Amino acid sequence: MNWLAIGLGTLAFWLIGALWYGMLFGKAWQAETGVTEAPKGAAVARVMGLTLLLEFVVVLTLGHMFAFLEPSDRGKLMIATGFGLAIMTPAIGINYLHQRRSLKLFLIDASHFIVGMAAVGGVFALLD
Amino acid sequence: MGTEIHWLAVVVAAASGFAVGGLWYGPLFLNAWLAAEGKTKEQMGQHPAMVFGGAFLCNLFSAFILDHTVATYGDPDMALTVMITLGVALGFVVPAYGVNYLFAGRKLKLFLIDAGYWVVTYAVMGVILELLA
Repeated sequence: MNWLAIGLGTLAFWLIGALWYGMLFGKAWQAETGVTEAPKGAAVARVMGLTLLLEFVVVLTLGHMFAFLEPSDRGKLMIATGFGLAIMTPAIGINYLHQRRSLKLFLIDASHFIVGMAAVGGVFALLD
Repeated sequence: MGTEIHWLAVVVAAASGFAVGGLWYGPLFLNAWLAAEGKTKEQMGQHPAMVFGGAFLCNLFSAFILDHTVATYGDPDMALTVMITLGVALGFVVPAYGVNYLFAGRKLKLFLIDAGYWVVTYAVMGVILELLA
């Protein structure tokens, strides 16, 4: 297991999230979800800490898979992006369909995972 | 994609997502789910064909990639196949839900119902992929 790649991959995923739900699509996301107030005080630490932990689990699973399969650099990028595209995206897609959430919200949330996973794959390709 | 695609297993695995969903969001947790969503049965209305068609396509895509993922590990036995599909659910799907639900401030109960659905569905898909592939 490459712990440096796992740590930096987690950080990269988290930073994509900050960019996605901040500068890039923060306003559009707020309009779709109706969540207008940012978390304050202890809630910030809770949401951010748990997000980091969950993303660590994702990157750890990927790192475990890479350690076992030993793919090429291109393979790492493709596998990581593939899980974002083919596992995470359909999973939230089905839920959003049943919960009648908007297409726009789906596109924001799904693209966050696809780009986030691609970034994680990129970190592994560079460092692993 | 470098591995043989087991189409029958993929289609049956995709259909199993519906079977589990029918149970999960039906007799098992429908009322708890509606309460956690803050909606009534009437507000959700009937499922239009688009919802079911879209859901089937999503399941088909996931089952296809799951089959490919399992096949990259060689020809794993039942225990390993289910471990791989459970690992994908616990390692990718559940955390993705967690991140989303945290940001959106959704209830823990809703997260548990929705994430639990995927863990069970992927375990069932693993069994089907091993039996039919």
